[in-house]
Parts: sequence; C-alpha cells; structure tokens
Amino acid sequence: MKSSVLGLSCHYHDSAACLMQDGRITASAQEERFVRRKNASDLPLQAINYCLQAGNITALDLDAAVFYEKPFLKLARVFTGHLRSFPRSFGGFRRSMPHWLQDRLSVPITLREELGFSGQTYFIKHHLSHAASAFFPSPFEEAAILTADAVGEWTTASRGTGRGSRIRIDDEMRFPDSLGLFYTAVTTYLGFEAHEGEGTVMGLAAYGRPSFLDRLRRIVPMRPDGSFTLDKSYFDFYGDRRLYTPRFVAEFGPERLPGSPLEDRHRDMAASLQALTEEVVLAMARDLHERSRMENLCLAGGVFLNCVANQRLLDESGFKAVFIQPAAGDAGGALGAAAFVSHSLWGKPRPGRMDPYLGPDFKPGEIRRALALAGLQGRQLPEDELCRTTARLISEAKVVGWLQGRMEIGPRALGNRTILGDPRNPKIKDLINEKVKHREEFRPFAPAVLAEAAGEYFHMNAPSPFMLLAPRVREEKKSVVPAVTHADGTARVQTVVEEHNPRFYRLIRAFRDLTGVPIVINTSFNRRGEPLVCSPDEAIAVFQSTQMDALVLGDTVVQK
Amino acid sequence: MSDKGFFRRLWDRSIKAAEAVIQAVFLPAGLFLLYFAGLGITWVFSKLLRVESLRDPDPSAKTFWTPAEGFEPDLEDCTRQS
Repeated sequence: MKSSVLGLSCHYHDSAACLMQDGRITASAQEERFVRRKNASDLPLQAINYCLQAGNITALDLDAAVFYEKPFLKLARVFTGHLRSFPRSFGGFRRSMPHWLQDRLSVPITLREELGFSGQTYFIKHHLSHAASAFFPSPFEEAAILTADAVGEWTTASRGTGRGSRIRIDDEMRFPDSLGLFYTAVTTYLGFEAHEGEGTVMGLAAYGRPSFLDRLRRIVPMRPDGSFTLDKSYFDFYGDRRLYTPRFVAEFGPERLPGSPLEDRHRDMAASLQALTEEVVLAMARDLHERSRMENLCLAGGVFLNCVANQRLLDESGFKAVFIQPAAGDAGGALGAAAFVSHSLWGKPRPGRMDPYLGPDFKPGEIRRALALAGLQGRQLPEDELCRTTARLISEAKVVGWLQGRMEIGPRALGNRTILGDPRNPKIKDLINEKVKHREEFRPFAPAVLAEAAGEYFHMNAPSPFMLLAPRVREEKKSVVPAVTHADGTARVQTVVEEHNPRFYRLIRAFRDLTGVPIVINTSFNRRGEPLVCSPDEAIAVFQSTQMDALVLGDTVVQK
Repeated sequence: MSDKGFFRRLWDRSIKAAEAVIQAVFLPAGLFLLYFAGLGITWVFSKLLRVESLRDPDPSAKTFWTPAEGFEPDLEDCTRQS
C-alpha cells in the first residue's frame, strides 16, 4: 500500500488539493475549476474527490491530511490586525468572524464530517508550505529559497535554504510589512480587484513612466538587504473599506473607480509600483545570494507570479538558475504542505521534476458524449493531421480552443486548456478579445515557443516551462511576432519541450512547418471573469457562447 | 403517524427559526459586544502597556528581517494548529 498524504489550501482565496503518494504528486487541482467560481475559497471538496479518484483511493486510505497554515496563529494575527485598526476595523471584523467561527478553526472536524477522514491532520506554517512547494519539486539538490506574498500567519516574506529533504528558514518579515499587501493595495487604488487585478497592473505598468517611484520609496523605505517597512499612515489593511488611507489619496490623487477610463497618472502609478516591487525582490535575492553562496534559487508566494520581476531576478540577482513552480500562489500551498510531510517528515524521495499537468483528463468517449449532447459534429483525426489542421486554422487568423489531456495547475494555461492564435497577426489580439476574451486592450497575450527555438526570438538562456518569465523579444523579431510583443518589448514566454507535452509541441512544430514561426499565442481557455475550463462540456459552452472559430477536443476538431 | 409528522415539522421549523434569529440578532450583537467591549478594552490596555505586536518596527533599524521561528517542525509540532 502506498503512503498517501493529502495537502489542502483554502479559506482565504484560491483553494486547492494535492495528493502525494510515495513522494510523487499523483494529482492536484484548484477548487475554482470544479465549482466554476474564480478564486473559490471554500474547503476544496470537489478537488479532494478528484485527487482521491486519481489516486484510486478513498479518504479512509489516506495516511494523513495536511493543512497549509496554522489557523490559530493566523487568528491571533487577525485579532491583532483588528486591534491596530480599532475602531475602523469593525466592518471587516463583522464580516470575517462568522467564517472563523463556522469553518476556519475546524478543519479536522470538517474533514471527518464531509469525507469520513478520521486520520491525523497536520498543520504547516503558511510560508513553510510555500518554501516546500518551491524547493521539493525543483530539480535542485540544494538551493536558496525566497518566499513573499500578502501574509500567512504573521510572515509576509521568508528566506532560507533547501538541501535534499531538509528546508531551513532563517529569516522572516512580518505583518503588516508586506510586499504582497502593498501591491494589492495599489492595485485596488488603481480600480482593479484585489487578488485578481495584480497581473493586469503588471501589464499596465509597461505603458507608464515610474514618475511616482521616489514618493513610493519614501513610504516604503528599504534596506540594502531588501527588507522594508511600510509607512502605516498610508495603509490600513483592516479598515472597513480600503487598503489605503486618506493620506495615500491626498498624496497620489483620487483613486480610480473600477471601469472608469485609465489616465496617464494611473499608468505611471502602475509603472512606479512595478519598479519598486522589482527593486525590493532584487535586493532580497542579491542579499540572499551573498549570504547563501548558492547557485540556484527557488521562489514561491503570490509575489512571484510577477513574471517581469522574476525575469530580473534571473538576469540580475547573481543566481545561475531560478525555479518557480506553476502554482506559486496560495493554490500551491496544498502541494507544499503535502510535500513537506512526504519528504521532510516521512523521508520519501523527491519527484525530481515538476509536471504541471495534474488535473482531470477526459476519455475520447466522454468527449464524444459531450459533443453529441451539445448537438455538435466534429472530425476525428490522427495526431499528425490534427496538428496540421489546427496549425492551418491558426494561420488563417482563426481563434481556436484547445483542450487536451490533464488540466494544468496554477493560473496559467500551459497548452492543455488553451486558446490559440497566430502571433504574426498584429490584429489577432483585438480579434481574440472581441470574439472570446473581452479583456482590457492593453493586456498582452503570451507566446508558447518550441524550447530549442526560444533563443532565436527572445533574449533568454533558461527555460520558462510555466510561463513565469518575461524575457525581451529580440529586436529583429518584434515585427515577426507583433501579437505577443508587449509595449515594453517583453513577452511572457512558455517554452515547450516534446517530452513534457508531446501534442502541444507537435502542434507548434506543425505551425512552424507551415509558417516558419515556431510560436503560437497561448492564452487561457475561459471567458472573462471565469476560471479556466476543466471539462469538454465547459469548453463547448465557451465555444457556443462566443465567436470562437474552432474547437479541438482531444482528437476531434469542430468548426463553426 | 400524522401527529409525529406534525411535531417533527414543528420541531424543524422551530430550529430553523431559532437559527434565523441567532444569525440575524444574536450573532451581530455578540460580534458587536466582542469587538467594542472585548477588543476595545484590550486596545486601551495595549496602548497603555505598549504591547510589542502593536508597535511598528524602529524605522531606523538596519534591517527589517527578523530571525524565523517555528519553521523546522517535527510531526508532533505539525499536529498543533498554533
């Protein structure tokens, strides 16, 4: 019988489950994909059930469940936060306390009631879960580790090292001095949603000048080692309405209302925020490199979903290699918690490679049934022809939905739940937005490139399999792939190797054979405001409710 | 049989009504009291006693990193929620 441990992250945002068996990741998925509600935070019952099915076990067969943080420590910090903002924090207190009383302090009881699991439940500190999620799936035997997010229990950033099956965290920064909360506060000031709009702000930053940078530096004074403190007179993380204070508004002007037109000062604020964030993480990483004298760096926490900052860490921190797993945010906490128990405490061997395709797969019969139910007829094709046909459709400026194999974990589509487009076509961004995505026009679309050709198009000397780096596009190639070149000349690249995703690789190769360009646009398969599609039914729903031109489900091509 | 059904339904309705009253009245009132009485008194004392976790770090500090604690747990540590 395999030793099985179930990792869980939930109750804040982006809940997820992960099943590890004998040290290998059997399955992992975010609850939002099943309940169809973005950033779902409930106990991930459907994700758990999927993981147990994938492992061919029931909850009774689990040796342990592991929660990705320590709830009572977190509650102590929440009370302290409300005290700091007393009496303005009453609204937040009134809203959050019922959740604490109902479910946040009773994880073992809930697991017993909902799943019949009566074994041992463990609790790992939030940033230790992040650190474990960064180091254990990495290819490194030893590495420095840096984590940064909004806040766990008390910790907002941590640094340390990993060797073999051991992790050592040396230092931490503590609430309320938080880079993640600072980024989120300014994101909401700019009229975007917390925990959702940060990536949008990163994209917006390329259109502005960092004209507020000096003023932001004054309210976020930083030391050479990257540590900093926030001037609390500008921020109020437990206030009733906003994460920033009237003083912040007095200093930087009125906040932007959601949906209102973007002005230059908004773009400049985004650019300033991004510049300061890069300064901070770069200083943290350089100092960690000097202290640890290690060549490899592992990163986790929501801050490291910022691919522009990640690229600078790779280029300028002194580390030779950087590893960031695809679910670097809180969803990856489930993976980290399970990995810590499995490797550190039980001594199971590490997996050696991170496979992001850990979600549900659908058999050809299920796809046929879904198509029949929707009244759609498609052509079933052998793989070579399927890839050639899809490549031709992409080259004809068609917007193509592509659902293959197991679903990705993490926020990025990595070639299995993807909308495809032609990167050579300067109008394709508008077309994809008009037909399906309806995103802000300034947001770029990302390229998926054959790994061996990446250096021809981008200034990169390291792979980016999880789309978490943003190298510069080579000057001479900007006009070749205008649709994936962002305003600042970068692109959020995914490098694709045949061994990791054979069919996606062959599709891009077919596109290269047809056009000479080894790149396709890869954007997440969803409608605006919805999570990535999981099942063929959901893919068909997007296909039928939008102007998407073609849909490829497994071996079957459907065209309008 | 029908009496039992009647009483069962009555009981269920009473429970639901009680839950609704708790949700609508007692829970907000309890939270109000907990916040303004409980946290309020704590706030006054924490200000008087200058409790460390409510103080900001010294802005002239050379670093804002602090030594990490509790990050090398064994199985026993991991059973605790705090």
